[in-house]
This record gives sequence, structure tokens and C-alpha cells, in this order.
Amino acid sequence: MIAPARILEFMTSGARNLLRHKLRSLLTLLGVFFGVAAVITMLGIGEGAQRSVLREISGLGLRNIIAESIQPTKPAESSSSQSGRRGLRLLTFGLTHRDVRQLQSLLPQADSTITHMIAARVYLNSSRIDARAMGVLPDYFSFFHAQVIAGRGLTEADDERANRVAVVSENLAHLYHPPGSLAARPIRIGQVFYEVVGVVRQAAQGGDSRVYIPYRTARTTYGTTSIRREAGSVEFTKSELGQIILRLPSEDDVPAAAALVRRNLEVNHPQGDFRMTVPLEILSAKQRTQRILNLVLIAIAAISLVVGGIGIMNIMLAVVTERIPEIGIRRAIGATRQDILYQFLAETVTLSSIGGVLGCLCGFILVPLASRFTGWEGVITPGAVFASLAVSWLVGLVFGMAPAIRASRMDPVEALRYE
Amino acid sequence: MIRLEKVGKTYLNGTALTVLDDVTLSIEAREYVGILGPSGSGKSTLLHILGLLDRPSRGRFLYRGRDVATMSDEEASRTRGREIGFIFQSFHLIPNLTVLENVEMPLFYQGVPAAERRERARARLEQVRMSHRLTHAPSQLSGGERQRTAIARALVTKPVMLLADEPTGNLDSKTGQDILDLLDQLHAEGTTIIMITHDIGIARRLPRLIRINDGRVTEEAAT
Repeated sequence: MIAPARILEFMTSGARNLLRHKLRSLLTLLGVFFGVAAVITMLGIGEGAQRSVLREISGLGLRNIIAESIQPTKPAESSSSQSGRRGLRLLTFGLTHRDVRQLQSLLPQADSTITHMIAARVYLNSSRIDARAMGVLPDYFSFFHAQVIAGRGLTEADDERANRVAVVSENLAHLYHPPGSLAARPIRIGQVFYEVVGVVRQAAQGGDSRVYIPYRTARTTYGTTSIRREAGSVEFTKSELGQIILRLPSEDDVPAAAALVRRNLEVNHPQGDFRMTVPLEILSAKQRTQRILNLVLIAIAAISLVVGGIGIMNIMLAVVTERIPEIGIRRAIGATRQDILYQFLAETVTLSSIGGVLGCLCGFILVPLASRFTGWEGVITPGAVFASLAVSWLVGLVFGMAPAIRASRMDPVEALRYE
Repeated sequence: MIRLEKVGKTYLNGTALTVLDDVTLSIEAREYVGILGPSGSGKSTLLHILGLLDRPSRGRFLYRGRDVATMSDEEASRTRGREIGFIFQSFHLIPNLTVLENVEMPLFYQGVPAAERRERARARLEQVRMSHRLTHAPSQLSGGERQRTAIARALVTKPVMLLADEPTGNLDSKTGQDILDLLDQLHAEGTTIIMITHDIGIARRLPRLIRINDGRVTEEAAT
């Protein structure tokens, strides 16, 4: 093996040779420069996209399994009772407290909470606002890593006493100026007014505006039945629970638990009046797509690296021919084939590494620029820097090999005679 | 030190070209031998074989008791670097290195640390009176200076044998004489020297003379 000190000497003498032909060296390393700049930019944007996917979905709680009541598109006879009067129907669907008990006994290790969906509309200052109201237990916010950023959250006492208080999501907070004025402007859900006591920030709600009130308040105020009047017919729908949210002790338990929950609900709800959301599954699906996209982007960037490498190889083949007499002299004064090989390899690797470092620096300018113009997030990780430098080094090694081998195989006598 | 037994060299470039044929000779340590012959007589090929740059096609070549045919390319290169110094007619300095760097080069391939390389190269350059040109490029030197640099390079490894291929061929007679005096002095100090020349005048001064013609050698008694 070759000692590091010798590699350094080969590299410095290689660098000096490159400096003798500044323009040629510069043009030669441009290919690697652009290649590495492209790779690091793609990696940066890819990483940014990964992170925003992760942040968006981890806001839903990666240990959570969320089951939600939905109105079946084709109501099954068993769940709806037709009243005698034409155009008046009662439709019963969705998750029940029985489901909660079953799931709790199936998954004793999981925490659970339930929500109550409120169909009534939300008003502020007698104008309707586009927000969804729901009744939640005090522990609801902890399931979604929600932070109270103003005022307070909902408490056990609120629930026990069925207090008429509400917590709004962050994207409604702009309606309150100054922030201290929360209590002064109650929110109205249906016909009932609620004092706003706090604002929560949730990592991911897809920009939905939410108004949360205590579960018991929701249940006693709005009940489980809602009425919808539509073109001469009146539809009563009855749904016991909005959502059941289960939280597993670790992400590793989620896939198995999700399968269990899905099977159980499918048996109990053959009419399909529920929907399951497993954030971890969404995340891995999204990450899979993202990874494929990243690979495609990087592959495209890699093509420019290959082109750069071929450029280097081309020039180095010419350099070897140009330096045939020198190779002969070096062999005559004791250089082995390996020494000659290392000499030319060191020169190519030095060249491509310089291209790599410059390309990397260029990436540090390109990535923020790209995210500014596209609105995508861009993150340059140490791993990406390391990878692109390693790749540039590798390009030098791979594409420098052919010229270096050619140089090392040269017959010393013929090389000395070469004019 | 060197023993050739029925050595021949044939190049196969389309047609077979025999450059050396049936050469048998031996050279002892501390000898000063001239090889005289017209151009194309095979004397350069002989020198390349003696310097382990080339290998015979036939026959046996014993270098310091070892059969060269059994040496690997790497061994031959290392031995060449350590024990043999070359001096060429056209100097063969590396153009983009300075005088000092050219002289250091053989030591680099022997793995000598940089500081010691520099020290030893300086000493050799002083010996050939080139201390005033250390940082010059070969292109800035006169012919004599280039050859003195090349000699310093050949000597820097303290070789047991110097192989000189027409060392004065590209020099005027006064500078040539200078170089020859330097070689005489090195011989006097104990270096084995084998010198190729086609100049009968130079050859006649040497203690031993080998004539080569059409690839065959004839020994000529010392004068």
C-alpha cells in the first residue's frame, strides 16, 4: 500500500502540473464542477422536500391511528331506518363507543381519545367563517403535538362542567387583534356562543381552520343527530363519534396495530362507514415517491458528472501522450509502473476534487437561490456535501484510470526515444 | 558485476529485426568501459539492457549475480533507481521541474523524505558546480549546464554504475571535455562507468573499449 504522505506528494506535484496549464485545467474541471453543483442542488432540494413531507405528516402523529366516521355513499339498509313519511330519513352510521371499547381491549398498550364532529356552522361577529368545529377531550392536543401559543388549552374541568369555551387553531388567530382580546370576541357555533380561551399551533392540519370545544359540551349541545334539508327532503343523520384516535407506544407497533384495527372495523362496519388514516403509512408512501423523484433528479445530475468525467479522461489521454518522454525519464530514474500510475491518477483526482469543491460551493449559492425562486425548501446536509465530494473524487479515480494505466504500461525505452 | 552470455535482442515490429546478436561480455566493478560503434549498431539497445530498461530476447544477463529474467518489472525499476544512473545525449531533464527538483526526483521514487532529498540534491549539484542554478528551469540552462544537472541527477542516489549514452554528443568540444573530466573524476572516486560513444577520439582515452557493429561485439585491448 501507498503511504498517505506519498499520496500527498503525488497530489501536490499533480496540482503543480495543473497550475502550469491553468486555462486547460479550468476548462477540464468545468464538467465536474457543473456535475457536482447539479448533484448537490438536487440533493438539497430533495432533502428539503423530504423534510417538508416529514414535518407535514408527523404533525398527524406518526404513532397515531385515526379512524373517522364517514357517511357511506350507498347507505346500507341495516344502518338506516326509513320513516313512514316520504322524504324523511334517519341515517345512522359511523363509529360507536362499542368500537372504542373493542379497540381498547385489542390494543391495551395504546392510548386513545375520541372526538365529536359538529355539523353546525361557525360565526364570528355574525359573519360566517370557514372553520370546522369539533368536540375534543382535553388530551386531544397531546396526540397531535399541538402547542398552546396563546391563552390556555381545554381542561378536565371544562369537560366536566361542559363549559362553553373554545380553542381556535393558529390560522384563525389573525382575527384577534391584539392577541389579548380573545375573550372579548366570542365565537358562535350554530346558535351557541363560546368564549375563546386559547390558540393552538398544530404542525399539520393542511391549513384547515378548527374550533375546538370540550367533548361533553359538544355532545350535550349538539347531540349526535344532525339535520340536513335538501330539495324537499329532510335527512337526519346520527353518528355517535367523530373520530377514534389511537396512539401506540412506538412507531414500530403501528403497522401491526393498524392491520388489527382495520380488520376489526371492517368486520363491525361492513357498510364501510369509516375511514382510517395511518400517518406512518402516508409518510412511507410519500417518502417512497419522493425517493424515486430524488433518484431521477440525481440520475439526471449524474449524467453531467459522467460527461465531466469523460472530458477529464479525454484531456488526460492527451496529457499522457504529451508527456511520453517524461514518463520514459521517470522510469529510467527508478519510477515503477505503479509510481507512474499514481502520478497520473493523483493529477486527475486533484483536478476532479477541485471541481468538486468548487461545485459544492456553487451548490451553497444555488440551493438557497432555487428555494427562493421556487418556494421549495432546500437543505444542504453534511451528508450531501460529503457525498458530492466523494463522487467528484470517484469520477477522477474512474475516469483517470484509463489514461493512468496507459501511461504506466508504456515501454520505457520507447518512451525515451519518443520525440 | 555484469555478465552477458550469448545475449540477443530481436524486435518484432511486423518484420523481425535483430539488433543484438550473441553478445557475451562481462564488466567488473570500478571499470570505465567505452562502447564504440556507428549509429544503428545496437549500442543504445545494449545500454538499455545493461540499465535494466530493456530485456534480452535470448541469452542470459546476470546483474550483480542475479539473472535479470527472474526480476519483476517492479524489482528492475527499484534496482535501476537505487543502483544505476543514466546520462543521456539529449540530457532528458523534465522541462517543467527546476534543476533542484529534477535532481531530487530519483530520491522521491526511493521514498526518501523531502528534507533529506533536498539536502542530497543540493550536495550533488554543488559537486557538479551547479549551485547557482538551483531554481532555474532546464530551458534556461546552457547545454553543459543541462548535462551537469543530468549527471547530478544520476549521482544523487550514489549509484554503483553510471550508464552514459553519448554524454558529449550535443555539446561543443570544450564543454564536452568538461563533462568527460567530471566522469574521469567520478571513476577515480570508484564509480563504474559504461559510456557509449561514436567518437573514436573519446573512446581511445578509456581504459577498456568494446566495439559494436551490426549487433556483434568485439573487444579491443586497452591502450
